[in-house]
Amino acid sequence: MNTLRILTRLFTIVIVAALSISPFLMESRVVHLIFLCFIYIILAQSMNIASIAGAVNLGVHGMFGLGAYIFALALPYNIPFPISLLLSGFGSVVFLLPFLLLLKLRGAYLAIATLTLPLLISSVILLMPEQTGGARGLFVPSVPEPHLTSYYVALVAVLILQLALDRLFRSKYKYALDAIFDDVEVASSLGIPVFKYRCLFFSISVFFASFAGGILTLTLRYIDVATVFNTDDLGIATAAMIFGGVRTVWGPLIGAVLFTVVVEQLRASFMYIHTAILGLLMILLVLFMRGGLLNTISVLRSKIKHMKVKT
Amino acid sequence: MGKILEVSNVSTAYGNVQVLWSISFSVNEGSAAAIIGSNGAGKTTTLRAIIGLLPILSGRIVYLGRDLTNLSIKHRVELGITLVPEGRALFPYMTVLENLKMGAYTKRGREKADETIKRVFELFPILKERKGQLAQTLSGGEQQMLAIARGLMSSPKLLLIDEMSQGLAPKLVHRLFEALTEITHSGVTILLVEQNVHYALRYADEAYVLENGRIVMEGKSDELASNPRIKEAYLGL
Amino acid sequence: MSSVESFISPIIVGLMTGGIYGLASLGLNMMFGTLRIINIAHGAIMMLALYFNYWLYTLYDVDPLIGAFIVSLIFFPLGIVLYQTLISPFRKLRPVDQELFPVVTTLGLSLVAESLALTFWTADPRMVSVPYLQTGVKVAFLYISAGRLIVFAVAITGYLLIYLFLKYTYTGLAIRAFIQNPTATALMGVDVKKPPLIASGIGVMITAFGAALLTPLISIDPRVGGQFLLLTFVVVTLGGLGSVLGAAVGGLLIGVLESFTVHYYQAMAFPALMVVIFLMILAIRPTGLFGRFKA
Repeated sequence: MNTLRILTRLFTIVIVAALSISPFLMESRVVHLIFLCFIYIILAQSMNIASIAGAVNLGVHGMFGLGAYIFALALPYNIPFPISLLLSGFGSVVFLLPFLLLLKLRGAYLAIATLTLPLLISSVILLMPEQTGGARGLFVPSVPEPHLTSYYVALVAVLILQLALDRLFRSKYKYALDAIFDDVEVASSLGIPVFKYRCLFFSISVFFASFAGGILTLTLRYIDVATVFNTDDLGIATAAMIFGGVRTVWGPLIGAVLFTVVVEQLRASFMYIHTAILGLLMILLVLFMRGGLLNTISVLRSKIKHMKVKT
Repeated sequence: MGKILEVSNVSTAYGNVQVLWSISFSVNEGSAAAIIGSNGAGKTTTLRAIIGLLPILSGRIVYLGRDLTNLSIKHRVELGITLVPEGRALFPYMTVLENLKMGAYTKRGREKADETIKRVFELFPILKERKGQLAQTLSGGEQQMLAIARGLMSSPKLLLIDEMSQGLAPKLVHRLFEALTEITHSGVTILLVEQNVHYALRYADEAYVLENGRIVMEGKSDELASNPRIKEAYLGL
Repeated sequence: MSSVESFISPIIVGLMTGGIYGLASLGLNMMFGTLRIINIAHGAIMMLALYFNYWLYTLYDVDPLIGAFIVSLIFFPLGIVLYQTLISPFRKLRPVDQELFPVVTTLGLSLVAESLALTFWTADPRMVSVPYLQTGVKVAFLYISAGRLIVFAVAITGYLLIYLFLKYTYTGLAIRAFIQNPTATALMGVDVKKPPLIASGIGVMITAFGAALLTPLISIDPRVGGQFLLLTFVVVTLGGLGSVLGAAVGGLLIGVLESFTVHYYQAMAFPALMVVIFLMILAIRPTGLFGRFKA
């Protein structure tokens, strides 16, 4: 192993350790911000996971909301909260199973279809006021130490995601996934089960997006449709993913941290401008920094290498 | 009559695959010329390079004394070069008449559009009969006639025709070549690419044989027709 | 009202609104046909057109019907700018990117538009009530508001104009040709940068026109953009991509459906219903009723 790898590993361990003890060392405002970063990392990565297999998931905010509601509805039945959390993840996958058919569609159509899912889910919730509280919202039963628990659950989730993605990108499956992303027809003619991969990755994406919704709900006393089905969340996750670099391991994480911090600051000062800035950033990013930060960096690095070789 | 087209040392490629290797040939104004050769020899590529659908790597294409390099397709059509592409590329949901109108899109075409339509209907009376029908409802032969007619609507001086006889019955092919002869007599130069060597050599004045992106033989078509290599390779004799 | 009347009335109302939906969806159809991209900002454009017309009425006393024409004229160049900045930069990329990047840029644009609308006009719903349009007109045994009738008539005229443009002008012909076969269109001597550009301008223009016509009929708030997006997409998918007739038929059908849902059930169910229909069409018959391009 070269020095860079060792250093990176050490660095990561230090950061994780620091994050693990920060609830006891830092003021709650900062801890809360870190917690939000975790949530958005999970959201951004769940979009990333779907994109890896060539599926676009523009409905993450809908799955987030669905997870939130499943969690809030499961708690009163005295289901211990870890199970409820897992339920919010798996439950969403189960509910959204029929929509896996949509994965047969071409890119842009899939994008639009996933975009409509949050509307469907939130509408259904609103139309069943007896079961879900409808427009009036839902009260969430309390859980011991909600903030600490949610913090650590989120931290663990982020770690799992990053580790899993890192392993995946180094594995032989990466080639198949790249093939699917590049050219679907060529990939299937090579015998790669495109649809199966897409279903699998999309389901994982749904799981984590909903799981994040469940985690957040742990910390809340009350939820309603307007708060948990928010296009802002989609905007942040998309911008984070694109900025950091689609289909990279660390890109969405970096992007999520950056955007969470920026948006929280903006949210405090101006009412709605943060959404406008997010939108503007999305446009500019795609126009000028297409691959995202990490990809642009690696492109620059290879260009520098080429220059060195020439001289 | 001078040279309407001069292709000099033209090479071109699709991505990393070179298709044409420094080919050179010329076409006399008012004549009928053919490029023949087997599949994949580069015949279609040559026409696409002339009309501008494909950029060339090196060499020059000169039309009536003008270097065509860097000229857009639109410009070339305005100057009087028109391509009737392989597979006809008609507008399927437009009527025969609308397809013809589109053919006359350029200024050059629009000026003479009414005249040209009359001529085209004389040449292909069946098109006049079917003028209100959607292009996709026509038979293969009729579609080819429409494609050629549409090409004529731009009032070209040089008409490039790609694989006209593909998939058509011999009677129809015969009929189409008769039409081509009439068109040449009216003063339009025709350069065609043809797999059907028999008809190509009968119709054209001179021909070029393309193999693997190089011109391996050229000359007057009656000489080529009696050439033993040609007879063996292409005429199956 | 007898039961027959109470059945017919929603149909008529639905048809009238549907006519306008068809017009707005026609714009989406044209853009998709030429650009082959999905414009997520379509709903936002409609929302902005509505607010613009509202402004013209409240600030300058401009009759909403006249305002609709003014708005459409303003939105024509906006459509061209939209195409130039958010869509054409991606023309040379590989197909995967070419399809997805415009989705992101237009999504960004819709976020910007929605937040700007919230900032300038707040989330409070606005209504435009124009007296002469409110009066009821008796048609057979029904009372229909004059507003609906006039707006419907104007929408039909708009449709006819677009149809005539596409069928009988050279520019319209070139756009149709481009939709059917871009390469062949280039061979006809058309500058192939022009048809998608003009189609975008016209597409956005008729979308804005259709939306502006709705000004006297509905209540306006920023969230309307998302609902319009869904609605127009359902209309286009139902009617079929690339089909002018499809947009009309789809629009009418959806208009009637909306009317029935509101009348017999509740307004809130309509978006959910539309999503279900949308997804079903995509799953079962992606080309829609009259369409020529597959999803």
